[in-house]
This record gives sequence, structure tokens and C-alpha cells, in this order.
Amino acid sequence: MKVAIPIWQDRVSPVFDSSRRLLVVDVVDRKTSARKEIEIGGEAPERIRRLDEASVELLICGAISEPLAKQVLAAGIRVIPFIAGEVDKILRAYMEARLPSAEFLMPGCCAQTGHEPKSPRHKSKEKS
Amino acid sequence: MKSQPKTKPLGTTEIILESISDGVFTIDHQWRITSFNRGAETITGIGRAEAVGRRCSDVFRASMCEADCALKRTMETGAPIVNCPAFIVDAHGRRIPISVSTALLKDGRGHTVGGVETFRDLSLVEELRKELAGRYELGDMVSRSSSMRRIFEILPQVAASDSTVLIQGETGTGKEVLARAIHNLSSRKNKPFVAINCGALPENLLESELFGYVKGAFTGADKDKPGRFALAEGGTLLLDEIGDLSSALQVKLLRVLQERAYEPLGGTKTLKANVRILAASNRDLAALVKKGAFRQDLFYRIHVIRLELPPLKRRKEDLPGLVERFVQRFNVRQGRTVRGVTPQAMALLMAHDWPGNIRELENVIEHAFILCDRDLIEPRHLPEALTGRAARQAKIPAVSSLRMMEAQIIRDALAQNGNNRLAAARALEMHKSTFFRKIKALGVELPPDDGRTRGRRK
Repeated sequence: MKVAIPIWQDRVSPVFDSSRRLLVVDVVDRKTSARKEIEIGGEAPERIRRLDEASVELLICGAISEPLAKQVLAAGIRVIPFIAGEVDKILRAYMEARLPSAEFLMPGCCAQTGHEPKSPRHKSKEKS
Repeated sequence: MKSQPKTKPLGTTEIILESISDGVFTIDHQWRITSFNRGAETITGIGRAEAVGRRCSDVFRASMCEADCALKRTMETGAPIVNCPAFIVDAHGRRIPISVSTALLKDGRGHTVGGVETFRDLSLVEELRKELAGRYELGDMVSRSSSMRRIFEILPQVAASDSTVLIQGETGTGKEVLARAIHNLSSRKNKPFVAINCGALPENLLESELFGYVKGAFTGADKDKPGRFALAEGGTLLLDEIGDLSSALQVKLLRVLQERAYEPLGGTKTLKANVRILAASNRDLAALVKKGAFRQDLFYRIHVIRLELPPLKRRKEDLPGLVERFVQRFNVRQGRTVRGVTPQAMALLMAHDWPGNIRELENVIEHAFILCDRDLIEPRHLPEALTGRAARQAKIPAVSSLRMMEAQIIRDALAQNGNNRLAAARALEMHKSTFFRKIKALGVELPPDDGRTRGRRK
């Protein structure tokens, strides 16, 4: 499976909306088989096109604005947002099924895989 | 209540920092946050206990962090930066526009011990700017109405998805304009946008128009002709009035949607179609399916995303803006300097039901331009269909037309929210007490059945 992480220095880029480099890793049997870096830029359609061209199935990123996150999800790409830390540690945590976890979450963010409303009206989520 | 642990009393600087609404944080040489004031907590939504000790980019999450960090520039050059624009992304995924100022942080002996960044939330300024611009705009579409705003809000996601979209709305509500906006927001924007009205052509002609034909397919076909699918390759194809498609063509279209392939008339080769389909109709397709006039499988294929454009009579708050836009357009086209419409003429426009929607309004303004020899359009310049009510309506002063518009907006909001007062107030982004005050002041009759109460009974 192709996993993409926007990167800055050796860390997850703080904001996917303005990130410029994307690490695309092929994960097979919990091991990375190939990795490449691609440039990314522009507004939402351009960013999604780049993810699509690289056949990305999962995006692990830092902060991401809600409209962009929704568009990425609409393109059939899963998102693990608000992740901070060194890229290699994050990748290892992902392969060990430890993402999302409080250890790698950005400050102020609770563990969730997407921008789901936290309003008490959405009680159905809590039942499951 | 728990008793707070004793803390050191705040110094003058800390008291000042805690009392201002601007966000302020300081960092050390390792880019770790060393202090975080109350304003910073409010704007970012992050408590200082969580922020202090973390890398500033993971906390601040600004668009400038990676490419053009203002604080980095200040740390390198020593020069302060004032009011640099950026946005941050908070924990709810909201983009918050801010302006950033930076300076070096020095100790008592003048040694640099880090940097200080102050930032101001510009959300309100942005909102006011939009409010001054007066409306929500998207491409050629302009609106103040909450129903249109909901469409505008989801349109970027709809555009990015590449799914088939069904646009429903009465004739003249701007279905093609909306389709163009979707195309222009999508990744296909540099490829063609092609529209075809399925109700305007006889079946055979429509088939050859859609799929094209090869030389010799029929008498007169002396060369290959590409169809609209081929012309829209890589781009977007709008099938307008899709409810008028014959059953035979519905089957062919279904195949294209399922297999992304088609054959031109008389052709043997199958052609691939990389085209995004948008469908539009002024008819109730679900009702057509029930009657057996529209295929259910095709309906579900095109019904992936449905956008409904409200008729103009349900968004009369948009009339002044639309009138202004058409007046500007005809001024440019006809080299005129009409400034607008008189309050009396506006009252007549507000009182009309607009069965032909925005297209009818455009025609009415064009009609008025022909008759108007002054700089303002008056009731006598409007078509008779509107002035028939003149005796009753022309005396309405401007302030009344505004009150009428407000009352209409409130009635619409109530209707759209099942008469639930609180939901209607929320939809209008109005506090409930303001909402009830306005209802009383405007004399809006409340329906006896409150949507909320009804919901409970169920």
C-alpha cells in the first residue's frame, strides 16, 4: 500500500495545506519496500492530483484544513491527520499499528482519524 | 472547587501579556515554546500546558512555518517583522487568517535568548471584508442566501471528487452556471467544458451529437465527426435536461457511465471516455422514475451527488445583488450609465414571484434598459407583468421593502427548518433572542406547529 507523508526537514510537515515535499512509501507486509520523494504544491485540486498520480491510499500528515481533508477523503484516500514527529518514527509506528496515538499527536488534538464533528449531537459514534 | 496551587504573583509584563487579545509566544534556540499567553491559547485552541516545551511549528501550524518562517528570518537577521499575513490550522481543521509580528528575545544583559512572536486573529476582519463585499461569490454566482451558501461551501469538495453530479432546479436558476463553477474548481479546469441540452434535439440527432459518427454511418456522413463525449475528453460534459432523454438513449448513457466507453454511430471501435458527467434537470427525476419514464439504474448512477438550486422566490434576499450585477452588465454591453433601480421599482421586483427565475430577472432588467432614459430604473420602465400590481405595491417606501425582505428571509428559514424556531435562528446565524425580537418587530406570523415540538411527539 502506498503511504504518503508530507515532510519538512526530517519531520512531518506541520501543515499539509502548505507543504512542499511528499514522501511516498510502499508498505508491504509491514515493511517499506520502496520510497521516493515528490514535490507538491498549489491549491487543493493540484495537491489531490499529485496524491492520485502517486497512487497514494493513505495520507499521514500534520495539520490539514477541513475542506482539504474532505476533498482528500472524497478522492478515496484515507487520512491520519494532526501527526507530529520524525518521519521514520512515524512510519515505524504506523507499521506497528500504533497510529494514531497520543504520543504522536499535535498539541490540542485528540485522537481521531479525520475531522469528525465533536458535537454531542453525534452520539451514534460513541455507542460503537 | 479545587484550590489552586500557590503560584508566583505575575509581574507587570505578564499581567499585560495576559490581558491582551493578541497571541504571544516565546521560543528558545531549539525552537521550543517557552511561554504562551492567554490570547495564544484562545486563538489556537491549545492550552499552554500542552504548548510549552513543544516545537513551535507543531503548535502554531502556520502556512509560513515551512517556507517562510518570520521568526527564523528575525533570528537570522535580528530585524523585527511586522504584520506578516498567514493562516494557521486549528485542531478543528479551521483555517484562521492571522497577521504575525516577530522580534528577538533578549535577557537583561542584552544576550539573545530566543524569539518572540505575536499574532492577531483576522477572522473577524475577513468576515467583515466579505460582508462589505456583501456576499458569497463563487465563479459567476453571487448570493446572500443561506441555501446558496450551503452549496458554495460544499462545492470545492464536490468539484474535487470527480463523481457524477445531478443539479436540479427550476428553469433559469443557473444550473449551467453552477456546472461551469464545478468544472472550473476541478482538476479538469484546463480541459474542455461541453454542454448539451438533451431536450433540444430529436433522438437520432442527439445520439450522433453525443457519441459522434464515422464516415458512411448514414447518408450524408461523408467524414468522421466527433461527438460531445470526444470533444469533452479529459474535461466535463453537462447533460442538461437529462429527464428528456429517450429510453433508448438512457440505456446507451448508462453504459458509458458504467464502462467509461462508447462506440460512435456506425463505428466498430470502442472509444474510452475520460469525461466527468454532470447532469441537470428541471424535472423531478425521482418522480419520473416512479412513473417509469426514467430508468432507475441510470437515476442512481447520476444521483451520486445532488445539488438543488433554490428558485429565486425562495432567495429574494439575492434580488438587490443580482439586479446590481445585471445593471452593471448591461451598462458595459450598451455603453450606458444606469445607476440602479428606484426603491419603488425594487419593491415591485421584490413582490414578483419570478417563475422564470434569474433568467426572467435578466430579461426584465434588459427590458427596463430599453425604456429607461434616466440614471435610475423606475416602475414605469418595468414590464407589465410586474407593474400589474403597481396600484398595491408602488407606494411601498424603501424601508418597507427592506422589512419585507427581512420578513421573507425569516419565513423562508422557518419553512426550510420544519418551523423549528431555534434551527431557523441558527441557519440565519442569528441569536435566538434577536430572532424572536425581529419576528415580533416585523409582524411575522409564527406557524402554530413548532418543528421541535412536533419532533418530540414522534
